[in-house]
Amino acid sequence: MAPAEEKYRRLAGRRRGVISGSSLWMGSDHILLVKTSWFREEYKRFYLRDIQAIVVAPGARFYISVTMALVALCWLFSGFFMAVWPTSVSIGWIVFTTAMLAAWLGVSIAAGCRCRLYTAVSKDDLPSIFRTWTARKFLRQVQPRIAQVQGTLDAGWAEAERTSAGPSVAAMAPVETRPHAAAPSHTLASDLFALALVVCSAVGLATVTFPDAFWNRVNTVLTLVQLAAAVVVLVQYSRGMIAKPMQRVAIASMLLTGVTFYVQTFTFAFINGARLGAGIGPMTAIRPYVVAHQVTYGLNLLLGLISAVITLRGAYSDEPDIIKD
Amino acid sequence: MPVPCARCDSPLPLWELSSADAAGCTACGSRNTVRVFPALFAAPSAPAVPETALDGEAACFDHPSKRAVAACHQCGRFVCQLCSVEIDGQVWCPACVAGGKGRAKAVYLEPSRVLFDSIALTVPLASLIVWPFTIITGPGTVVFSAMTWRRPLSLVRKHRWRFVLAILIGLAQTLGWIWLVVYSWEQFRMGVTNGSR
Repeated sequence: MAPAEEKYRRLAGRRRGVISGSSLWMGSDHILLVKTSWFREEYKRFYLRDIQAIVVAPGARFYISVTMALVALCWLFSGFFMAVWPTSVSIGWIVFTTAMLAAWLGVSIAAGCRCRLYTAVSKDDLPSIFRTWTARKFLRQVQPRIAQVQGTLDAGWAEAERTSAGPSVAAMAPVETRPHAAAPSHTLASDLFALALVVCSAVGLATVTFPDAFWNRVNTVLTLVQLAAAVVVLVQYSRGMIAKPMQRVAIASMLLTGVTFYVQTFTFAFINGARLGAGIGPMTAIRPYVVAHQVTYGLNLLLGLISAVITLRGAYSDEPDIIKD
Repeated sequence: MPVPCARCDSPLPLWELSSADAAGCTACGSRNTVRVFPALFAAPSAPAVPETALDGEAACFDHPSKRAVAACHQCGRFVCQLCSVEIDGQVWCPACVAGGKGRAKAVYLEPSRVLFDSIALTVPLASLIVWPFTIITGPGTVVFSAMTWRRPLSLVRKHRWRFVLAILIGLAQTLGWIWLVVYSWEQFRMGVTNGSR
């Protein structure tokens, strides 16, 4: 097969800096390590038949991606306007910034790792694998492929090696990969997410016409809880802890919230701008605004019901099959 | 067969490797997750040692003192054990392999590539920081993209959307400059006409 025709599939882990980056790809018979520097890509191929060992050692890795750096810069830039903010907002900004910094430090120290791949003639660091969960996912992806080519070792290979008998290699039978669908359809976080969707939409629908600031705050807090739960579901999906249907619901709810936020904000700003221009004066509660809220809460309720169905179906199907097992 | 620690390179002890998942390094104390594969225990192949040619025996083209073991499938030169290169079951001499004749081209694996599509996209975007430069980078990007359109892309990215986007941005910048020049010229001409009246 000509190299140009080789089809590559992206493996777990990606490191993208301003001028350099790194990623791993699975080819038909090899793992491709791609290192990018400025406008040049360098390739290194590790043939599956030659890989002797993959070792992951925990260690602090302080890494900031370009995206993270840009978001952090924008966030820090907003701090310049602290002088005109109310005190409570300023305190909230400082607390949130400190918490984010502490979270990044904590993840970098506790979940950092170094991954190295050994062949008979080389040992190479894999720079794109720098978090333990990424390393686990990477190993889950490549281990079955290497086993298909090389076979598998007996569980007691180290003992056999110690007694100098040499390990026995099992037949090169294809090892079944753990399908993603085998992950449970719901977790505690996804249950909370479903609950948050239903409660948020129910409370929202019931109080959308109330002009009280109290209910406005309650709805905001519930939306934030729902978003946080959706993020947890996405993280769990990326770690293979939950099946795809709930991930899709989480994405849909996040998109819905995001789109609604921007649509409401811009609509409100344009309408009020036009009213001010006409000398009528701004309005705090206008009909389209209420309708947009009702539509959003209705769609959220629908998503909540879908996630409830997924959860309930999973609760039955996840139970062990006594006859089969 | 030692498996080194990924942190300090010290060999991990075998009794640690026999545990299910994590192997503690006795040197640095880190808990390594180790996956070992059968290739670790494969016996290394013996190095090729060419035999000395005796009188009357066919000798290698490049090493006249060494006994020939085969003839090159491409050029027919005799090759010794050291010089014989096997490609798809055929023996080739080093000169034919280096010359990239026939199928030998197919086994060439590129160690690196220049990302022309990324260059084409970055230049017009970066020039926006100092926008007067777009008078050069706008048309320059279009020309550069057209010239390098057929050059190989990244091994892992097969789409040319960066080129397309670069051409669109380059065209937009060029058209913007044309409009600005025409508009300025019209303004200048109207000013001259009004001044003469």
